[in-house]
Amino acid sequence: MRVMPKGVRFQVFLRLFLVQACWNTRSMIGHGFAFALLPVLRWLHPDPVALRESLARHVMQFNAHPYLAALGIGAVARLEADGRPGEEIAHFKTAIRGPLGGLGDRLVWAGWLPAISLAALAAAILGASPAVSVILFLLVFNAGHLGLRAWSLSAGYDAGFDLAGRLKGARLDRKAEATGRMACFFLGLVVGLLFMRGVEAGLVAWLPLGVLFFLGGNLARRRTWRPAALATASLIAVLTIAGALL
Amino acid sequence: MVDAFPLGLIALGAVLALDGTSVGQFMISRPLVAGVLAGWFLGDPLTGLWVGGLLELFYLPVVPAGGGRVPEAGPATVVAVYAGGFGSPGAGLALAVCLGLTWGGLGSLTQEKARSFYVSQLPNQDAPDLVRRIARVQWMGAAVEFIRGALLTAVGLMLVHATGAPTAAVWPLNLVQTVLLLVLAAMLPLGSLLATLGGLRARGGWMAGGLVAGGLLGALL
Repeated sequence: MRVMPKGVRFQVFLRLFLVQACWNTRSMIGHGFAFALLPVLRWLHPDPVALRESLARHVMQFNAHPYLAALGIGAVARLEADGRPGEEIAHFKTAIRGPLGGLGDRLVWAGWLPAISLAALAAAILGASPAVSVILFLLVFNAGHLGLRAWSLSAGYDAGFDLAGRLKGARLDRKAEATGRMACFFLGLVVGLLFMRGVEAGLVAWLPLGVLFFLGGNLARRRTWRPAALATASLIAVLTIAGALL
Repeated sequence: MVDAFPLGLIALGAVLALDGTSVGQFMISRPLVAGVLAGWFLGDPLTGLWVGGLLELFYLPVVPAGGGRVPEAGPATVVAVYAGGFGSPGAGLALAVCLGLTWGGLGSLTQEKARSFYVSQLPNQDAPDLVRRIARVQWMGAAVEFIRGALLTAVGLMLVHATGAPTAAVWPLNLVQTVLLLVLAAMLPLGSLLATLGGLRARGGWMAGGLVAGGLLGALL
């Protein structure tokens, strides 16, 4: 295995933070993927013509969770370093995009992020200062975030074609399960705290309505943001107009 | 809190727009963080925490899975915190949450337009000078997001500056009533979040554990 020089690895790592810079509906993060891979291709192909040819292979549609895109970039970097044919690399990229998207969404967007957000919210409700709430959230969330990106790049390069095996060994699906449970616990914690604050304020009569709305939101599943936002904003507007008229 | 029109807020909104999708995604664009940051700018981090915290309850179930169109919290929260300083505490919160939600929706519309623009700028495989153009399109995307975020924030701040005071002056509810209204409304998206996390059947036990812990902590502290 050709060992990626530390300088090249560092350049790729920094470029990972720009992988979604021009996210679009045609190539999604395809061009960002090529951009992040460019230092590796420059290392492997000092000749400008060969560099251009290798880069052109990666100007294609690709999508993945932004933090786990590093796994794909690392793995493809390894395939390029191993001199695998372009068609094989293209097929490989098509095969990995689904898992890297779905797994990342479960692990981060529907796990780690809501868990740490809710923990910070709970701290704020319990009286933590703005600084403590924010620092708690940013430090803890980004410890996981940056660790995941750094591990992904290394693991992807080490695994190369055997990315599926590496993912299985890393048990990211189990970690996604764990972060999901953690998020549910903190969701209960925040809801419990809000209800207790309501009781302290003498608003017990309104709690059943809160439970009803919560259960309604659960039944409606993922389609509630827009209706809830619209209803809330509209209600505020109506009350404001009522206040002006009365 | 609202004597001046801090231009620094526009820069903050621009940076938060970047963080939301394009650059970094360190989650400083989450409402809780963005709210406190905007509050610090305005000399009132506690209002920022209140506004950001309430908006966070609404934005929690928003998951940018698959790159679909999602409301944009960062610049919206900056505008919301600015609005939070108008009128009584209750009026400020109501105005803030109303703006935070509507401006988030507007943000996603402008983001969609920007993404259509990027499609027209993408180099294809046969493009001359491909190496340079790949880098250029990425930096162009970051620059466009920065400008978009700045404009979105600026327009929102100007709207609040012009209409915030008379609007807040007629808000009919006090602080407790306002917070009750907003927290009740937030129960809908929170319920939806449980569905995203696996649902009542799969995760009800974990949620129940949290509820008990929350009840106990709330009673003790």
